[in-house]
Amino acid sequence: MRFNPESAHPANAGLNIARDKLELVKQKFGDQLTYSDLWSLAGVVAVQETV
Amino acid sequence: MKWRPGRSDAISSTECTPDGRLPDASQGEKHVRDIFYRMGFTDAEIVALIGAHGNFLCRSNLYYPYRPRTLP
Repeated sequence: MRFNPESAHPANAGLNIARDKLELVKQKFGDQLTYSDLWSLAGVVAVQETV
Repeated sequence: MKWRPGRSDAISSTECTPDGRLPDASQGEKHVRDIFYRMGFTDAEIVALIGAHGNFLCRSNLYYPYRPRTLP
């Protein structure tokens, strides 16, 4: 999802906003988890916080 | 909710799966099961995934922009 063509696919429009916000977390903790872990964890947290 | 770490990242775009491989509902349940059983889904999980996506599409402004937004 970080790379073209997937990141620019119209079905993924707007996800760059979330990726950019999570990039701040990745810069702070990047050596402790991968992008894959970070994004999947963000999804889990989002569901937990809204349910 | 359970979450486990340990996923690895792709190195470049060459590792991305190509477009056009989404499941095709017109091919029936055997096709859908072939795809999702291969990923380890149970029937209940397949239904939950498809139901959630259908629910979103019914509510999405992108797909149905002229749907009434408030209850009558």
